[in-house]
Amino acid sequence: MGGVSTVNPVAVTAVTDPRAHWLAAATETAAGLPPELALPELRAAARTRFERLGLPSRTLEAWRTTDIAPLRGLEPRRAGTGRAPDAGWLAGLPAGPRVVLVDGRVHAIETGELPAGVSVLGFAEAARRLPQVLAALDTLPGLDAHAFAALNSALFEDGVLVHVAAGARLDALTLAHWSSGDGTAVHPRLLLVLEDGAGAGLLEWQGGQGTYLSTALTEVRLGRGAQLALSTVQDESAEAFQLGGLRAQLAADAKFSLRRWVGGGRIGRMDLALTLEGEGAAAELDGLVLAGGTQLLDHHLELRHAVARCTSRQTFRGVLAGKAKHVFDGLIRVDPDAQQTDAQQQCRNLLLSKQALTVAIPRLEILADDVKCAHGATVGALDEDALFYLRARGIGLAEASTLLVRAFAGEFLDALTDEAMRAALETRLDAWMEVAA
Amino acid sequence: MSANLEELADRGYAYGFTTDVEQETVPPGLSEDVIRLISAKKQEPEWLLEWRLEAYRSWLKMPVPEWAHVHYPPIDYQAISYYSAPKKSIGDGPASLDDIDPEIKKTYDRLGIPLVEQEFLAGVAVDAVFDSVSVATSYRGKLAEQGIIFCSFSEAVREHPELVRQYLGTVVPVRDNYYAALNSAVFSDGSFVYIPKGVRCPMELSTYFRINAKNTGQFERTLIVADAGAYVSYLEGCTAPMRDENQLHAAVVELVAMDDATIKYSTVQNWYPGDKEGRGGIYNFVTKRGLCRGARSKISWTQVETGSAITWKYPSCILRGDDSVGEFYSVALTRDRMQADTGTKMIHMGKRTRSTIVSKGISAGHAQNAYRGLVKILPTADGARNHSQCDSLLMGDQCGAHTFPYVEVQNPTAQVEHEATTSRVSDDQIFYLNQRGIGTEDAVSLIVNGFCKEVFKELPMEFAVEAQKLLELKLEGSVG
Repeated sequence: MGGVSTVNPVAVTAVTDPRAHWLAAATETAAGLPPELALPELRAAARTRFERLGLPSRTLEAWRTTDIAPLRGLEPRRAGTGRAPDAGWLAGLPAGPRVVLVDGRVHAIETGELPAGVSVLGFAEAARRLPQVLAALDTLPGLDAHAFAALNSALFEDGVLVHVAAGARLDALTLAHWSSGDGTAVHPRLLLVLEDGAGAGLLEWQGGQGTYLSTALTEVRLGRGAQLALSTVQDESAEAFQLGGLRAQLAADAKFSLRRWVGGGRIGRMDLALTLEGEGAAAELDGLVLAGGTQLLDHHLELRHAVARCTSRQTFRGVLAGKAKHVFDGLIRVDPDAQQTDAQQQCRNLLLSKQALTVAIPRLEILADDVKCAHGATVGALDEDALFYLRARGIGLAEASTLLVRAFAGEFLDALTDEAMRAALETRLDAWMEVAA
Repeated sequence: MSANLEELADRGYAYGFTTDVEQETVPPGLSEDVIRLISAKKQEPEWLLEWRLEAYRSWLKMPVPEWAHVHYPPIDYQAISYYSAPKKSIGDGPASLDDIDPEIKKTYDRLGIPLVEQEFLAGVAVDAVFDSVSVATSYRGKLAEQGIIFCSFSEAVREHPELVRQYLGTVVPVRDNYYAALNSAVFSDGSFVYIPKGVRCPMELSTYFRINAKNTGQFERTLIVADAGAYVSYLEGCTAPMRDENQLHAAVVELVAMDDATIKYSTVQNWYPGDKEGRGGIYNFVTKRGLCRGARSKISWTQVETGSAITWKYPSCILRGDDSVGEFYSVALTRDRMQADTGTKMIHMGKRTRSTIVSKGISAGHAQNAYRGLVKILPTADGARNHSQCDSLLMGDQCGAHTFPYVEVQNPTAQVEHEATTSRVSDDQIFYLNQRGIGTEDAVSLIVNGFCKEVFKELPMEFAVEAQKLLELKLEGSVG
C-alpha cells in the first residue's frame, strides 16, 4: 500500500427499516378509528417520536440489558376484533366490579353501580362525557425516549379511563387485559385520574395466549392528597412480549402505591416514570418477579423528586430459576430544589440456579445537598443453614426450598390487603416453585 | 466567607506554566500516514505498525461513547497533533542525566520530582514522561540486578520485543472501546515494567506525567507484568500547565499478575481542571485494567482524582485466577465546573475470587461527580465475594453526586453487597469543631480527610501526604 491510505469500502445493503412496518400499521389503524379517537395532534407527535427513536437496540444504554432480538423478526399484525377472552381465565379473576379488555379494546364493563363521582369509561365514551379529563393523555412527564410508549400512543384503538372526582372513593375495581395472541400487536391504554382528595384501589390483571406483543401503557395523575393503590399481576403467556410502561405524576401530599407481581412473558419489560411534583408526595413501589426457563424480565424505573419533602420507597424482589434473567434498573433523581428528600431503593434477588442471571443497577442522581437517599442490592442463594435446619426436621428439599422462597416473597404478599388475591398469588407461587425447582 | 478564603478561592492553578523547549511535532491530523510516521519515527517493528493500523481501522468504525454522565463539545480529532517529542532525545537516548535539556530539568524541579540526588534518598526510580518520549530513567542498574525491567515503552519494544508482543493488548484489546482504540493506534510512549518470578521490587516505581506542548494529545501506554510470586508497587502522578484549549488525554494501562503475584497501582491526578467557568482543562479519558491471570494473584488500584475538566476512568480487575483479589480505592474531588464519571469494574471468573470497592466522591461548586461501577459474577465464580461502598459528599447546593452501580450475578453462591450514602458536611459537625477552637476551614478539611481516610491509608506514605495536601488545597475557598 506504500504511503497511500486506503478507505475500506463499506457495504451498503438495502435493509428494510423495521420502523416502516409500524408506521404502516399506524396509518392502517388511523383509517379505522372513530372520529373521537382520531386525536390527530397526539398521533402525529407519537409517530414523529417513534420515527426518531426507532426500535431500541442494545447499543442504547437504557436497552443494554434487554435484548429484544427475538421480537425483531416478528412483524406483529393488528389484532382482529370480536375475539373473546378465555373462559377459564375469566373465571379465575377476583370477584367484584371489573372491566375486561381484549386485545387492547374494551370488551365488557361490568362495574355495577359505581359510587358518586366515579366514572369508568371506554375512551370513546370518555371523549364524549369527560373530554377535559381525557385530554391528559400523553401530557404526563416521562418515557419520552421509550419507543414502545410512542408506539402505543400512535396505535392504541381504545382504552379505559378511571376518573375519581374530588373527595370521592372507589374501593375496588379489576382491570383485566386479555390478549388473544396469534402473532398480533396489542396496545392497551389506561388513564387513571384522581382529583384532589380522591381515593382508589385498583387491580390490573394481564393475561393471554400464544405469541403477541403488548405495549400496555398506563398513565396516572393524582391530585392533591389523592391516594391510589394499584396492584398489577403480569401473567402474560409464555410466548408473549410485554414491553409496557407506566407514568405517574403526583401533586402535593398525594400517595401512590404500586405492587407488581410479574411472572409471565418471554420478554417482560416494564418502564416506569414517576414524578413527585408536589411537596409531601409519597410513592411506594413493590415488585416480586418470578422468572424461570429462558425468561427475561426487566424493570426500568425513573423516579424524580422534583420538589422538597417527598418520600419514596422501592423494594423489588426477584426469584430466578433455570436460565432466566432479571434486570432491575432504577434511577432516583433528586432535583436541585428537592431538599429533605427521603428516598430508598432496595433490590433483592434469590438465585435458584447457576444459569440464572440477575442484574441490579440502582442509580442515584442527586442535585440537592440535604437529602436522605439510600440504595441497596443483594444477591444470594437459599441459605444453606436454613435448608439444613428444615431437612433435619424431616422436610424434603423441594418443600424446604418452597418454604424459604415463600418467606422471601412473604413481605410482598403480606402487604396485600385483599385476602382473596393473596391466597390466589400464594397458590401461584407454590405452583411456580414446583415447576421451577 | 473571610477575605482570606476568597483570596484562596481565586487562587490560580499553582502548576500552570509551560516549558519552552524545541518540540518536534507532527502537524495536526490523523490518518494511516500519520500512524506510519509515528511508527517509523520510533523505529518500530512491522508487527507493531500492523497492530496500530488495525486499531485505527477499528476506531474509524466505532461510535463515540455517550453513556457517561459528562457533557462536552465534540472533539475534533483532526485538530490534534499526534506526536511530539523533545528534539534532543530523538534517535539515541540520553547517555546520562547531564544530556537532558536543562529546561526540562527545570520543569521537573519546579514540579518537585526528585530526579537527581534526592531520588536516591527518596528511593524512587522515576521514568519521567515529558509529552511523548521518555527522557530519563533512573535506577535502572539497581533494578536490573534483580532482573527487573523498568523502561520506556519504546525502549521495551526495541529491547524486549518478545515480552511486549506477548502481553500487549491482552488485557485491553484494541477494539475495547473508542479511546482505547485511539490510543492503540497512536500511542507515543509510556512505561514498561516486568518483574521476574519471585522478585519483590525493592522500591516504589513511579512515573510523572506532564502534558506540555500545545494541542498535543497525550496517549500513554503502560504495561506492567508481574510474574509468579512477584510484587510491585507503581505510582503515577500528574500535573499539567495552564492552557485555554482543551487537551485530550487517552491513556491505556494494562496490568498482568501471574500466580501469587501482587500489583499495587496508585495514582494522584491533578491535571488542569479549567478555569472557574469551565473553560479549558484536560479531558481525561483513560482505560485502565488489570488481569489477575494466576491463582492467588492480587491487583489493587488506588486513585486520588483531583484535577481534569472531565474524568472518564474505570480502573478494573478481571479476576480470572482462583482465589484472586481485586481492590479499588478512590477519592474523586470535583469543584467549579469539573465533571467526573469514574468507578471500576470487577469481573469475577475464578473460584473464591474477592473484590473490594471503596469510592469517595466529593462535589463542590457546580461540579458533577458520578460513580459508575460494575460487579459481574460469572457462573464459574463459585464462592465469589464483593463488597462495594460508595459515599458521596456534597458541598453546596449547585453540585451533583451520582451513583450508578451495575451488579450482574450469575452464580448463586456469590455474595455481593453494595452500599451507598450521600451526605453533606453538616452544620452540626462544623459547629462541634468550631466550639473546640477549630476554624471553619480547618474543620471542613478535617471532616473531608476523615471521609477519605479509608482510601488514603491505601496510598504509599509519601503519596498519602501529597494527596492530603492536594485535597486541602483544592477545597480551600470552596466552603462557605
